Amino acid sequence: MNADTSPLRHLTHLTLRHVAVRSLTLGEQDTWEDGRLLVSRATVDGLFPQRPDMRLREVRAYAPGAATRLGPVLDTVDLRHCANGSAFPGVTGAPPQGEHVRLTLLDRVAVCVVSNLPGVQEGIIDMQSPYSPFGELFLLACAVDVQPDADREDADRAIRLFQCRLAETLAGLASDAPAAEELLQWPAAPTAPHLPRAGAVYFVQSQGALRRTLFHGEYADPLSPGCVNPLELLAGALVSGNYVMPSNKSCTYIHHAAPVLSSLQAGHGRDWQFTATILVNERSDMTAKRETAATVARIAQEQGLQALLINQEGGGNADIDIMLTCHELEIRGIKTVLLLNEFAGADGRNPSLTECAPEARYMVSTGNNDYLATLQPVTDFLGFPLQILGSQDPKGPLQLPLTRLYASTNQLGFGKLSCVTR
Amino acid sequence: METPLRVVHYLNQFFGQVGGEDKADMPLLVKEGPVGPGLAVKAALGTAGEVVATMVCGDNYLSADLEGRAAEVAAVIATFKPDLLLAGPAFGAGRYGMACGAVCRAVRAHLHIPVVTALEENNPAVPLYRSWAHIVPTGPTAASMRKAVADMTKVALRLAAHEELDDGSYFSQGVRQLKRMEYSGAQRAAAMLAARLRGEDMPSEVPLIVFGAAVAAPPLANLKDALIVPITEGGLAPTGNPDRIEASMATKFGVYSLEGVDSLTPEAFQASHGGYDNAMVNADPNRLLPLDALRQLERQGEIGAVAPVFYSTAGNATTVQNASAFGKAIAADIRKRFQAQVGVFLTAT
Repeated sequence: MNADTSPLRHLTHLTLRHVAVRSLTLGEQDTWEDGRLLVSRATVDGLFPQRPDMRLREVRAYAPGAATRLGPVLDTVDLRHCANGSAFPGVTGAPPQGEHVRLTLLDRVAVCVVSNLPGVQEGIIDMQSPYSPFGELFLLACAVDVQPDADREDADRAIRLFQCRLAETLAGLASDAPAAEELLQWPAAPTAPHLPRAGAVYFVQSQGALRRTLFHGEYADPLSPGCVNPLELLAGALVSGNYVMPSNKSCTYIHHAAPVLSSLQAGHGRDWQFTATILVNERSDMTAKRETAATVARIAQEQGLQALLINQEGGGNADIDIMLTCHELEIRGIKTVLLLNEFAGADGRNPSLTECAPEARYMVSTGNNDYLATLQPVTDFLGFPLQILGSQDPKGPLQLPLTRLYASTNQLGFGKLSCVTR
Repeated sequence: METPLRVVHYLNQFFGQVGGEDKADMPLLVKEGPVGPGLAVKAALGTAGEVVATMVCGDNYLSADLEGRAAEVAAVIATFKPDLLLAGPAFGAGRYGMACGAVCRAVRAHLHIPVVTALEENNPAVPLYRSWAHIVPTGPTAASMRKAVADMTKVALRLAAHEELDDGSYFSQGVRQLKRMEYSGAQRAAAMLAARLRGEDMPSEVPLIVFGAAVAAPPLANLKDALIVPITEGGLAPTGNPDRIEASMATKFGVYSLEGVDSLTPEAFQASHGGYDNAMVNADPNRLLPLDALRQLERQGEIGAVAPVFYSTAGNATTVQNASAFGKAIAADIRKRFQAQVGVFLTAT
């Protein structure tokens, strides 16, 4: 599945119905009333796959700032519902038909799964810590216990389906609720032609088992770079199955919040004409990295793009993808700004990146993954502490590098962390 | 009332009021309390601190063996149990500046206390020591002594109190510090792009890094005579990971025996590396480090021999510094162990 064959590429209008959440609690039945979302354990159990290799150990509801930690967190998903199709197209069902899609989105709430799924390298959400962006949301957290000999990818698929179905079901409760409506259109409304043509190079990471991104439900490992309709990304086309590094990967919630696309949209008509979003997968071998960068540059030239905002997912060898791409674009006169994280060492003295193109003179930092964050004690821990904290008291005071804090250095620019040189 | 901070002050022979260039060779002399510019330090400290001792040393004495002699001075300074070290100000004086820098660095390594000196921007000691000591900028000569002392002392007191320092109050140490911004990363990136398009110069949040090129060793002249040393960054270790090599942000590498091992078995070897799903490697570790294939080449005479050991670490969020250090240490160890023509077979994930 590539951008040029995707089922939602013809979307022209997307209506997002934003519904505000005021509370999230577990109760006897599922109800939505005036911002209060009540979730029943029976509903959650009913959606959970009946298979011998996993069980739903616990379900909890947390308010923003709760004195709690959760981990290892796999994916975190927004609550969204589409009346005439899947809000996670290709995952929970077929995409909606037609050129105009309406979605109900519940604001400030997410479903997250914590699990001992073997083979992942995940971290924690500490809801009181300033380094955990998801601490500011209402969280419905599901602890999934997976047998050590389970088929990992199969188990992962089952968990993902459960999580997305749950998110849809709960959002569906508010599908008739009063909402603030936002109408987006693509192509963006015509504007002053003298403004430069700008867009995004949207890097995702899909590189093997449990390090995947899904595009319309298919692993993006073989994805060729291509112009994607940004509305389809907002319609839920990207879902994360990437468990390689909690801090700097792009979980589903953040893909759907689409901060880069929002910022580009905000500048449309003022700073630029928002023209294109080039969806690209980071590749793990050198030849493919070079080819990808060259292809992105070719597409950018064909689209007449003059400026591009490029994000990264992951780090380390992913620095090479973004830097090769920056180089290929800049030597063609296309201006770039890079959004990426740093590994500057706990003392801040290590080179921040493993590769740097001489043209990479405009970079925004999302923080130093090696920074040692001090976490205050909490009263509650949900999940499987041994996986990430070893013998440390999971509720006690902790010092952890940001690497271990979920979404702390997200590179779609979701958070506010950065670094300065002093 | 809080106990005043114990401050030790380092001065050269001139400012320490012993003599001029004729005394530049003098070894360390310890004087009680503040001396010379130390009186201005005392005034600047007020009740917050007390200069308990002044170290006076000849510029030539230090520069004859900067590191060694600075370590000696640091050992003496340690006996005063200081909370702070101030050195100089040395303004534009080269030898004096280098001495101040070296002593600061040695004391910091030894005692982990704030160490502050004050130098003029072009002093050769600045680029060498700016990342190890807080160096406060001064004018070129002692004409600005009063201001230099005041600035230096202010920075020292802030450091002791773990307070933030003002930008420009010291030469940047090149240290990356985390900062929370008012706007999200996406908003800042869009703002930066817009600024670029308007032709405005907006500073990058990440400094440009220039890496030196790694020059590859020449290829082996003759594979059939060569000893092949297997190395992997895939996190392979004897089952149980006896050296506790971390699966992420590794701080060490291991050296493991291959004597009598024809093929890697999952019973004997397992991988622990968070950057990829280890299941395939754990089912057959030869997939990561193809010992079975290397042994075949050895039997066929295509290679001289497989080394009796392999080296391993986990290359997952490893710092560049650590990776460089591992490489150097492994190379040194290989040179120590093996005299033959050596080739390295390095697998990565």
